[in-house]
Amino acid sequence: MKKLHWLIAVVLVMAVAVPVADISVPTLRTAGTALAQDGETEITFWHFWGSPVRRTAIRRVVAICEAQMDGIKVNEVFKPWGEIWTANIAAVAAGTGMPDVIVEDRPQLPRIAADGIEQSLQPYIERDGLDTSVFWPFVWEQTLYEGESYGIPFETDVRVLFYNKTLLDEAGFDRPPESWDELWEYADALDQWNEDGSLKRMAFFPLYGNVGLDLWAMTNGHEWVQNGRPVIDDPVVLETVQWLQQWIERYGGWEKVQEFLAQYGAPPNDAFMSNAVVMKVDVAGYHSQLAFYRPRTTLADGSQVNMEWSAGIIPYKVEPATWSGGFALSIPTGAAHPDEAWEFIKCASGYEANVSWARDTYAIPTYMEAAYDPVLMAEPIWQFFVSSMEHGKLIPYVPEYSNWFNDTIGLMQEDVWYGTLSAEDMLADAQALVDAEF
Amino acid sequence: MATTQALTRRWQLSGWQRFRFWRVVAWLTLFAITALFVIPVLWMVSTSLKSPSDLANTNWIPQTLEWRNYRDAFSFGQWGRWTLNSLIITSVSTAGAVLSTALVGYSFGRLRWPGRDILFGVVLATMMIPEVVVMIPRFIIFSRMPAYGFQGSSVWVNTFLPLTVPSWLGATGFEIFLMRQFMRNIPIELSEAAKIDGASELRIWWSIALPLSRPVLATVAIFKFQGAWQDFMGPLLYLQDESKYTLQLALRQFEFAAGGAPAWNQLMAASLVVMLPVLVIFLIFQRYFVQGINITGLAGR
Repeated sequence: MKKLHWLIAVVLVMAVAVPVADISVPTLRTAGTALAQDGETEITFWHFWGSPVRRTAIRRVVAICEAQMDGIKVNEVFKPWGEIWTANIAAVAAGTGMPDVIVEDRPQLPRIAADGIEQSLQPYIERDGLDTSVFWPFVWEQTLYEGESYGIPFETDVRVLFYNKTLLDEAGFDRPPESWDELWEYADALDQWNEDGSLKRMAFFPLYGNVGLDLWAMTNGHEWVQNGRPVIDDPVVLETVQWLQQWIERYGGWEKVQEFLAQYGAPPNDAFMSNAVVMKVDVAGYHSQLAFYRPRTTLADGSQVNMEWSAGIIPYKVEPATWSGGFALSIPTGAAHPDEAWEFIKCASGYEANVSWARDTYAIPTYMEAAYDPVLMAEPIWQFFVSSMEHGKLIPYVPEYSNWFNDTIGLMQEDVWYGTLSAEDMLADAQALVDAEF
Repeated sequence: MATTQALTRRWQLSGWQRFRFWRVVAWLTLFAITALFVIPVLWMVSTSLKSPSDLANTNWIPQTLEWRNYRDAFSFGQWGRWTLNSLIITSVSTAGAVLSTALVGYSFGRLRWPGRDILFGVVLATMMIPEVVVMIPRFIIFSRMPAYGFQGSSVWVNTFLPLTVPSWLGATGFEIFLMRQFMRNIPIELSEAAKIDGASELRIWWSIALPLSRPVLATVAIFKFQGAWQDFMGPLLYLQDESKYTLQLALRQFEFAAGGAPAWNQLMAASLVVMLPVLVIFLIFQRYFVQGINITGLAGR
């Protein structure tokens, strides 16, 4: 009993003493940033790049900008991916504690702007005459809400077809497939089945990877939003859905495909790195992951070799198309130093900072000219990634119903893949649901 | 029972054999349940020792033991600082939760006062409100409370206060409930005898109720320690300087470490080390913890 009381007393003393003692510990600064001196303004910049490579890269960007800006210091703070935005929303709602600059999810910007979480940058853009044509056009458009920009693009990606070059070579193909028809031909040569008839290796599955019906319909020439309204019930979309259904049938039905793919997880245990899928659509950044994990491939004779991989355009029916996500630098509503924040954003989204970031991270710059940096262009796969950006397409934001795709087709499509709903019915139902909002 | 008899007849099992048979079944069942919890930890150990190219394989034994993953994981960032922060927040809030819930539980469980049961109902009702609903209102409250420069902040946000002070004010409904149920079981005669000897209620709480409540104190302490140590959302929302971060926030820096994907080997190495204190605390207080669960589970007199 005495012992318990002693324990409680010790914990109590600790509880009071430790936080008090903590005040006397000098505040540590993150490396690379200096404390603001008199007459200088310190702005806070939230990002989610905490790993050594990206942290070092963003610190370099900050250093470049601090050297260019007069009297502005940047305190860059790492916040975990995803939750960074939860913390920002809480702070904006409270009216305090938000950063001066935050990295936003660019495709989400119109919705975020509609919710009033970030400020319009249009007054600054017009005041300083910012040349917005330096960015990839469809990337710039992603930042717009009601004609005003809510973030300046910073870092982008692009969807391409990754292929296991070792296996394509083995099957006698010297280049990746480029059309829907060629995909079938490649699949005939590369699919492998076990003796019991179950699937052993999938050449390609159009719904595996970073791709879906939305992008496939675009490679079939479809424009999802026409005259401000989503167009779903359309022969081109129907043709695309039927093409996807043929792939599902080829591999024994949706359930079988799901069972097969469920054996694999995230990189480095995903189906591509595990040699269960020979070609997949993913973002250019997947190349860095392959370079990090260096997967191996088993050849027909059972020997194992280092996998060689490369990338090609997403196979198309009517026209090449791709889609890019990525980020933008925004100023949260209620930020304490918006003017200084804008100066930093201007610099960080400029040529020099973009080149520095891309050289460090292999992420595609949003500033077009920076993507053609000679050091980066020395690598053939980089040249290909940059050239793919030219096929970039955009699904325009629909203010009347921002989440129309996920709410309709996104929820219904699995029934079509299972075969419990016809493609025609899905498209008609989805169109009716969307039309009801206008 | 009929099954046992049938088995006995079929295999001519003696009483001793029958006893052994069921014992084996029980052990196997327990072993299976234990395996469910232990296998992920073993997988973490295995992953933490793999090289990047080995991560793609499903082998349990790494091809080469990469002990450097542990060194690399902690070589980038303010880990010493973050560990200290986690320790401060966890110890302060655990101490607060144990003492304040013991006091509140004592009052609900052993004292009679008007409105007691209604108020207890209100306390229980707070358990039904999802955390996510109160997240932003609570943030707004703490962002308005003055901190007078404590930890260099003018308001509670960006200090340890929102993460520690609430624990000193009765912690959560669940912990109060646990404490009350236990305190109700302490024989009332002990309090009466103390009263005759002239002890105040506070004295009875300190000298009689607390020493007899060791199992539930340990239970609340472990729950709170674990909760505070593993808390992610609280530090995420309230701590804005990286020098004030806790280990749970720090673990997330491995997310883009592998060319944009998580560096699983380093993440697992760091997670294992961060997990150790919870394990140690549990092992130390295990005896009390099990007692606490047993007794509070039996409910009131």
